[in-house]
Amino acid sequence: MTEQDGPEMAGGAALWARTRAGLAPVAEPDALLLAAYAENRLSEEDGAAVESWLARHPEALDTVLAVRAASAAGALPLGRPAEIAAARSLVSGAHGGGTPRPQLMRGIAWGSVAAGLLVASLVGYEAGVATGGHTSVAFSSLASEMGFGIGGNDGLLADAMGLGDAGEEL
Amino acid sequence: MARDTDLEVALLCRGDKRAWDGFVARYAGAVRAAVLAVLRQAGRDASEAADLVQDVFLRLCKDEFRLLAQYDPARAAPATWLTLIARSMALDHLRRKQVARVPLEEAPESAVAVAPTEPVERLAIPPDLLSPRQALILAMLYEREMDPAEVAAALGIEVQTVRSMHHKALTKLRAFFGEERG
Repeated sequence: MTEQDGPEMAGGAALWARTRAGLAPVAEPDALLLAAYAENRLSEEDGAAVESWLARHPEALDTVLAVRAASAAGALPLGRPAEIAAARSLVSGAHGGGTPRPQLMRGIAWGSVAAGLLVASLVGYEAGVATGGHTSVAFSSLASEMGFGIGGNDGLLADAMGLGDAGEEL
Repeated sequence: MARDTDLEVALLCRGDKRAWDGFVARYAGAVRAAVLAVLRQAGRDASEAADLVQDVFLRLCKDEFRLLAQYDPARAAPATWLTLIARSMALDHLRRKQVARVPLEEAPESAVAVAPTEPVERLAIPPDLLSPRQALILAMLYEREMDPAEVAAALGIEVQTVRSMHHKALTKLRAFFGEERG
């Protein structure tokens, strides 16, 4: 906070708290809409709808802004060609061939994810390294500040996406 | 940066092996990075990441690929979408762990007591009193405790625009609540 901002913001927190208490609820965006917002790909109208929800659920801001910062910097950790090729061979070895059916996907996903994780470990994917190493100063600073952090009750988002019981049900 | 807009949703939703091989190989890193970031922020052991990464991919398959089928490459890159899902699932995992950690009957009374609170004035705010952007800026400044420069960087606007919108928003709110500028 700068000296310039101090007087203007005096009392603002209390005023915003009163305002928050009186805001009408708005529809919660799904993950795809939030992802599109993070990438600045929404129309003004859709973007306003997301921002309206975020203003009411600022705990979700950490996730959205962290993803936005990384996305804007082109730093989301995608695979490198050599490692992708290695993973494909591992995945091929993990499957017996044929087209998997949905009810068999658990085994397939486990094998595939194991291969992916091996690749990840080979590449040395680490969240901070993968995102911080290629970001601009402004966005890496922001991402660091936001910490890709646990902002609180992002379960609202998880619930909206039907993710609430992911671990147990699968 | 690799462009990752060629996700073959239709093939993935049919359980095509080759498509899944490529999909997992390509995005396991992004999913793992997102999960690890959440775990580390919470001071949790990174060993929990493996199960969570698996859960993310399994979630995409659940209910005949219901979640995966919702993906539209025209709207957002797969890595962005998957990162959001992965973070949300990791946060949800942490909440469940937190809840499960201490059984209610074993929690000290002070931990479950409801503190007396002042009555909260709840005056309905007209929907057009603040623009969504104004409300978001106030939330970022006062609830996330970001400074104007951080808000400006996050929203891709000028710092002066943040200050101007903040000033106008507070002016409207003070008028609405009948407050004098202190």
